[in-house]
Amino acid sequence: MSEPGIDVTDLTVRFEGNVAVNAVSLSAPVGRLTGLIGPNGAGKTTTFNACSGLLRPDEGRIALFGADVTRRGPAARARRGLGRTFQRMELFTSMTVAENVALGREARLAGSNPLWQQVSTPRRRQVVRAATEEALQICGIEDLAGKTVENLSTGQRRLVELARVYAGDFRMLLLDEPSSGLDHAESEHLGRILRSLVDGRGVGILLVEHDMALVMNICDDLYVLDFGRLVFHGSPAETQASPIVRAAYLGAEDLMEMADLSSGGGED
Amino acid sequence: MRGVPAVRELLPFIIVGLTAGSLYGLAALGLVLTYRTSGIFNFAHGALGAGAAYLFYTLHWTMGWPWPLAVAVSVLLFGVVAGIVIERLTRSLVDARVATIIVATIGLFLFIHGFLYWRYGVERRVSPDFLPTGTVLTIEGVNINWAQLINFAVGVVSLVALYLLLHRTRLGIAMRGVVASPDLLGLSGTSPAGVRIASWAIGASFAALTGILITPSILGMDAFLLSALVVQAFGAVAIGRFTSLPLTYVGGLAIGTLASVSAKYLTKPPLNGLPNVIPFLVLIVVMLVTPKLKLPPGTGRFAGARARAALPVPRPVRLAFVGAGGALLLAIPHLVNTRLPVYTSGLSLVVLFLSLSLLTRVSGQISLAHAAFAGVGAATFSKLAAPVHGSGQFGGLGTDSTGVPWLVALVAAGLITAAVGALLALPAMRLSGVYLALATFGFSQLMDNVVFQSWLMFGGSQGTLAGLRAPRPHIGSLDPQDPENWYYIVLAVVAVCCVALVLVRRSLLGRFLRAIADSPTALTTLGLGVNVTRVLVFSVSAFFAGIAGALFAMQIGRVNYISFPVINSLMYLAILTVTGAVSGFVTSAFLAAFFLAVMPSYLTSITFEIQSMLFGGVAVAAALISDRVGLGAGIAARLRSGLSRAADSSEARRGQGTGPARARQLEGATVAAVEA
Repeated sequence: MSEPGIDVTDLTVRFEGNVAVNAVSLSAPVGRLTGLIGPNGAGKTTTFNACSGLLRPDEGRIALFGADVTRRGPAARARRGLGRTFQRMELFTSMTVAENVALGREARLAGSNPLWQQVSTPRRRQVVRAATEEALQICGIEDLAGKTVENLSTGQRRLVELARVYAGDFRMLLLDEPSSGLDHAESEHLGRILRSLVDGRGVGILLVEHDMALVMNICDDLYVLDFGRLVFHGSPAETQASPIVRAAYLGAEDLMEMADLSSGGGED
Repeated sequence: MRGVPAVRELLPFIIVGLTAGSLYGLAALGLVLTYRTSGIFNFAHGALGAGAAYLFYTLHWTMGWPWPLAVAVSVLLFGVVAGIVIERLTRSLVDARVATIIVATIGLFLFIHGFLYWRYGVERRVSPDFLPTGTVLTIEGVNINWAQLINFAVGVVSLVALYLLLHRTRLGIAMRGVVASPDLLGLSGTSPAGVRIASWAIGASFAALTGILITPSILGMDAFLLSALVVQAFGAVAIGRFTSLPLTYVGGLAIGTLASVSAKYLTKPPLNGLPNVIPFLVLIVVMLVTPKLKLPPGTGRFAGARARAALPVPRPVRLAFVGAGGALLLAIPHLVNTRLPVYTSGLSLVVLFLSLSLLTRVSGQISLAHAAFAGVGAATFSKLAAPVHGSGQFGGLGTDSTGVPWLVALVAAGLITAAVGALLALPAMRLSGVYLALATFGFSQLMDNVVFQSWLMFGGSQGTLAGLRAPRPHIGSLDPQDPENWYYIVLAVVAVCCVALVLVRRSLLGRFLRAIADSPTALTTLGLGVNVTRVLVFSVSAFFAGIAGALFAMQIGRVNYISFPVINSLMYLAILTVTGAVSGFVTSAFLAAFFLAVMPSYLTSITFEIQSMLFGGVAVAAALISDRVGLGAGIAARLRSGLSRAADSSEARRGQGTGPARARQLEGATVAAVEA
């Protein structure tokens, strides 16, 4: 079997009595591209926040590479190799693209060590520079390196955020709607980057995505959430054929239509 | 058997405490109401009470109006009018950064406070009782007079009235609704703005009523004491966990009683300052033990695009600017004649402003403790450079250069202050936004009222007012008492500090600091221990603030426990916000120092009171327009919120109603809480 990446067991998250995620279990192993789909408000981003440690689950366990990290903070999980992007894009908006991407590596190298937060070594600087250049190049945004993030389009920002976690050299990535705001060509390019991350570098990816064409194209495995519950798990082909999944998407004729339905509301 | 006489002995203090506490509770109710309905924590709440008290004083005692009329006019004017004005002022701040909102209300505080000092003078006035003082009843031999009974009753009646309003009337239910979901309230046909105006009017009226009632018997007419009334309210608000009205009122009673009873026992300095700080001790303890999620989030963004004041300037232009500035600083002794000492004071303040700027402007944190940091630096330096050997009242005079070398003392002053800064940063790790501001403000009050007067700092055997001597260094054959020599020595130290801070800002740590200001969430999910970073930035900032304090002490030669008052910390933040809105990191510090230290020597009509008013007013204005400076970012934010609203309504169409939307809103708060 494949190497464990992130494993969620019986995850439940409540907000003042509203159950946002209800006893969800899923596995996203290393070296595979796992999709997590569902209508707006299904609990996808909440699941992500619990996985990355931004939320303490009310019940359930999160394991990372086989080790229980439920009680670990977000930074500790990141240092073990879990990276993520945000649906609302958490970028360092006042800084340049290159600085943003470099921070992906620098933050992980510095960790919680007060000394390493203050000084760098020539060797570390070399590592950061190489990682930054590679990430910028892979994501095709070298020519934006010196620009301030503030002045970029949404699509460009998505790529900067992706480049940042790429530079961080994480073994497991949680990507929250990386294609929203990208045009068709950019989406296809994104799909190729993600596939090469998985096939070439052996990274594991858990992907939340509304672009169903993209999801069906690149994912190895799919989980479907609705109203905070896991309603389906299977291959993309099985998912497309499933009546349960169709019902969850309000009677959409086929899953391709879901892309149109959900493109109006950008938020999960 | 022993308990009964003890209670009888304490009874007068308990009664005084409950009377005062009821009024603290009243003020605190107003504060909670406005915080919960607007999300804006009003640092100027007590200043509103002060304004109303002075207005009442003028109407009743100067103009001879009957007291019921004077009370009614003062409360209505300060309640309704101030309420409407503040609602108008703060309406545009809902999307602003938390720091901006805090500075806006601190600016308002400084404005009102400065205005009152300017208009009525700084001396404390006696304000006679206007309520009848005849005895109503006697408990265990302690007389209770009408004024006390009325004060107590006003608190209780206001609590009950407010509670009924919120739970029994349409307006009250709308008020509670506006907290949960302003957009939804708008859909239901009630104007959220109208509801907010009503709550600000009620909140400000409560402050006004408290100010008027508390003046004669308890506080006396002192604009600062009255403005600091908000301090007592803070503690009560914390006991109510920034949410519950009844608990808040009970908190007021508890704090009033505790302060009054402890004042009976703590009569000697430095501990006689402790009763004044009890609300803050309560506040800090409550904030530290309360799980973060139980503290309601205020309005405003914790991060996001900052207003970028400086346009990108080409390197040669910048170098020329730095060169010209340096030349000007070198030439100043030949240009300003006898005003030179004023400029030297200004130079020491530059370091202080830079250190504050590193914390607020670069890393997006808040500190209302920088005057206290400077005090710690000044005391450490003086104790090391001119130690006192148990001599009399003016110990230290005449014992020259017996301490450690000057530079060692200066660096040690920085290091000790850095350690204090790190200590303060421990709560800062858990707190953010308004709660961080409150914690640092509480720390300042504690230092000002208690620690500065103790032997640890400026107090002890040599007497408190005489203070400590801060000797200037002898470098070679230079006479440091010569103003020109001294100016150049300070300039050299300031130049070194400037370069050091600029380098810190450009270093790896500086990059982390800027990133924290933009998105602490992202930084933490990339693996950085942001709590460590926060402790580091507080330490580095405090280090330089300590050096600035030591320089300032040497400039005036002798410092005591009143050299570094709390209000200075508020002024520093307000002025730096103003200059920071129009200039860069270094320039804004020089401008701020110039405005605070140098300008008043040219315009002698500009006293500290007028400065307070001026900078308070400008800080409010700067806070209000700072978001519009970053117009592009503002529009983007509007668009984003528009999009998410569209998403919400598409959800509503799916028949899920507000559940998930509310859940997500809560989740946002939770995420912010866990990440910080």
